[in-house]
Amino acid sequence: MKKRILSALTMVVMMFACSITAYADVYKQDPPDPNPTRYSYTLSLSSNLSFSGHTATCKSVVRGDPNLVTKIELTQCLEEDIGGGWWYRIASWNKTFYNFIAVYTTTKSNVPSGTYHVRTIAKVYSGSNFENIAIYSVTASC
Amino acid sequence: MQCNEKFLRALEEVYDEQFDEYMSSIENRQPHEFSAQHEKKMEKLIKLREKPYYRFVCTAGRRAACIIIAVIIFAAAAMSVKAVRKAVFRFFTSIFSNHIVVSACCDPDAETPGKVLEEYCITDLPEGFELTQSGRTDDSVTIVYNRSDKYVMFEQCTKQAFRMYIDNEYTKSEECCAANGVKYSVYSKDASSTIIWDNGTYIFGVTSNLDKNDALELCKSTKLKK
Repeated sequence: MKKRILSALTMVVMMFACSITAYADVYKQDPPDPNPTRYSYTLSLSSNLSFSGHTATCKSVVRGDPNLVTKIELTQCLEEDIGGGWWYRIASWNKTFYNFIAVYTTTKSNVPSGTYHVRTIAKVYSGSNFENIAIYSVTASC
Repeated sequence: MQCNEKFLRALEEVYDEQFDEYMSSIENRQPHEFSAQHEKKMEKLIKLREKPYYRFVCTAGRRAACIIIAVIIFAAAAMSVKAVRKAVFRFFTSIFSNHIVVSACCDPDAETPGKVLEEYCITDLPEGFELTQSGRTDDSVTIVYNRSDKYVMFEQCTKQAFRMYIDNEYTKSEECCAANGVKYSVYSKDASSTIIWDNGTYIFGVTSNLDKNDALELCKSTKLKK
């Protein structure tokens, strides 16, 4: 009886251990979104960051449904990894595109040495309705 | 105590001399001899029991069943989380509840550039398309062409920097192999399609609302910029 209870408990712990490991791998940069909404108007997004010396170049690309999207408001945040899953914003930019595709490139010079990523926040409008989506670039160091 | 007395009284009632003689006849019988076959089997079993691996052999079936159940539980636990990673051809696809994230498989033994050293372009763009937007970093290029209600977006990226988020509601994914041996991963939804491929050095993407076959022809026409 004791052995059965022990085996059952071990199984349950293993199941949760797997789930937690995978879940942590997905949301290590931000707290998890408890209610992720479907992309209603957005079809694809990408974000890139590169360094040339201490000059960062950030690019964000957002593509919406051409039949629905009327406007895209893009916010780019250049953030430094300060450890413990925390990111420190050192610069941010905003631009509005009256189009269903937005390609936004910005640069920042004299960036201190460290590891960075670009967080792109897209507010994609269809008339007066909109959806907010945040994505991250691969990290880069300078 | 009362129960015992009742039992004894009941036993006395059913007990009689005939029963007593019958029981005696049983006791006087010759002791039972087991067959030679049975004795052989018993000896074999006793010898096997003395072996050091007896316990392991006896529990082999149960161990196998436990391992199979553990594998099923692990697989089910992995599939039940929001993100499931799987390698799709040359790309990793992370599947979330509302989107997928496509990134490139980077072979640690292969040397691929960390920057876009040679820029590529679509050479067979249909007439009427004009460049409307573009953006560049050291490791990626994005160019958008428009013609009335049609658009073509061409992207080139290093393998390390490539990461694309794609809406996965009603999006179909498939692979097309061209005569030149290149494998194209196609993600299509309604009239739009995103086609990505790896030429060994860079990752390319052509996104458009053209016919899928026309879009594939554009991909095949991608060449080094002169």
